[in-house]
Amino acid sequence: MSDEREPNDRPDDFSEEDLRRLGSWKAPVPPADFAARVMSRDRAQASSGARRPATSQPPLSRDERERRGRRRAAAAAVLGAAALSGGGGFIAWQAAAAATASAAGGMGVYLAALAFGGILLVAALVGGHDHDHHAGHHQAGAHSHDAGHTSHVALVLPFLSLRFWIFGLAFFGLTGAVLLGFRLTSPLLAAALATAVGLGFGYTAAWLFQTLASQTVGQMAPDGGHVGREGKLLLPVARGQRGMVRVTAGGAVTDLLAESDDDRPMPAGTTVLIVAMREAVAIVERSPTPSSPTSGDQT
Amino acid sequence: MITEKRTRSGVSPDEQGELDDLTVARARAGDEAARAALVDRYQRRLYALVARMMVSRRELIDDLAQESFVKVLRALPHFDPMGPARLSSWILTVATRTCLDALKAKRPAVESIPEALASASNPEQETAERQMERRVQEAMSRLPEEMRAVVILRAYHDLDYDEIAAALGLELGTVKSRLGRARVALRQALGETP
Repeated sequence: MSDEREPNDRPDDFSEEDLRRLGSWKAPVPPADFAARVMSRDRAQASSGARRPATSQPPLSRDERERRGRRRAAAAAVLGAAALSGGGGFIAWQAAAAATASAAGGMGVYLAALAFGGILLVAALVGGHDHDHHAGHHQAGAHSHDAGHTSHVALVLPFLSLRFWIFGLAFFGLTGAVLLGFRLTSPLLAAALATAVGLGFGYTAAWLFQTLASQTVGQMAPDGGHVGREGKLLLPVARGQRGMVRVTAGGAVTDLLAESDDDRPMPAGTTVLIVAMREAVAIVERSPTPSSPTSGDQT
Repeated sequence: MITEKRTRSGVSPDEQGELDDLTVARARAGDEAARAALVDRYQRRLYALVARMMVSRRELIDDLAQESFVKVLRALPHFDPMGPARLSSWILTVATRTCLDALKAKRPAVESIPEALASASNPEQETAERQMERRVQEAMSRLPEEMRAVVILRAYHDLDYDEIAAALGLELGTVKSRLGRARVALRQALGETP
């Protein structure tokens, strides 16, 4: 409240007496290092944001997500039908060959499938490259966005996966080649078993990867929004000694495991700045000085 | 309104004015020194607003004040110096909304004034003004959050009705009616002054 205040020319406004009373409330002044801590937090969050990959694609509308989901499901159903009919056709071919006692090229088919699927499979395992990135990404997205989709849609989605075809062909070829090459079964039974094993392994592998991918969608952001925030150590932290930090953000209190690369041990109660997140562990540094709101003059 | 003058708060008038245009432009361009100058210039006002808004949630004051400034710094390139809002009003708007979001996100069952903030450390030195300060805090803490924001922006930060309406996304009439109701509530709470 101030004596220098302009005359109150608004009847619905506070009167001089109102303001005198309200003015008795002295506002806390920021701690001496407040500005430094703001800048430090801003820098930490900015550097964290710079490392975070930018999202170039705008979020899809609900209608568009549903349209894309329907298209994916239809394509998956067609591919699934193709896989099943291909397996059935191969078995029928082998059956016809056995009936006419003609030399069918079953082994050639098995070896070709094994070579094609096996090479891609080995390349994926050794190179660590995600051959199914495109399909798998969308499927994971489908799980995230279209949670309301019926289960039968989810059942056909693995057929859309490149992994289904890689694993399916590899194991189809391997099974058929072994059974036929070592003359363990008749060509007809080998064809049936190879088809079943190929379909089974391919579907299982695609479903497994798809399920794992969908579970990663919806996890917390890499830094959980904690980078740049200050917290108080509940348990001491030293180099090689993991502790715990309590962070208050937006009204929520979160306790995080904490590590530090600082050589100086930090006892419990130390005010720290979270400079990075390594998975679920906060990497902390000693804050410039501990903070404490202080009461001071009126502002 | 309750202005911030050196004679009462120890803050020089220069500290309370708007940052000069050149520094604002440099800050918007990302100049670190200019951004630090901006924080330094407005920290007292922002901190005071956050502290008053969060009167019953003292443990959040420091974090929310920092968070508000970080938001300000991030959004600074989008601030239009030629627009209708003063930089100080815009900063206080960001801080007010940050506080309201926090209060809505986690509302305590019963709001109470922390003792450390509410009373003097030495009861013997507690004056009538101290008692009034405590009563004002309690009265303000009992106001609905949106109404408290209107009062704080008007009484402590001298924002005009239009600026308050813009800051809180309210109609001008709503601002006036809230101020009117707040004034009545505060007078009832503080009426029996010694």
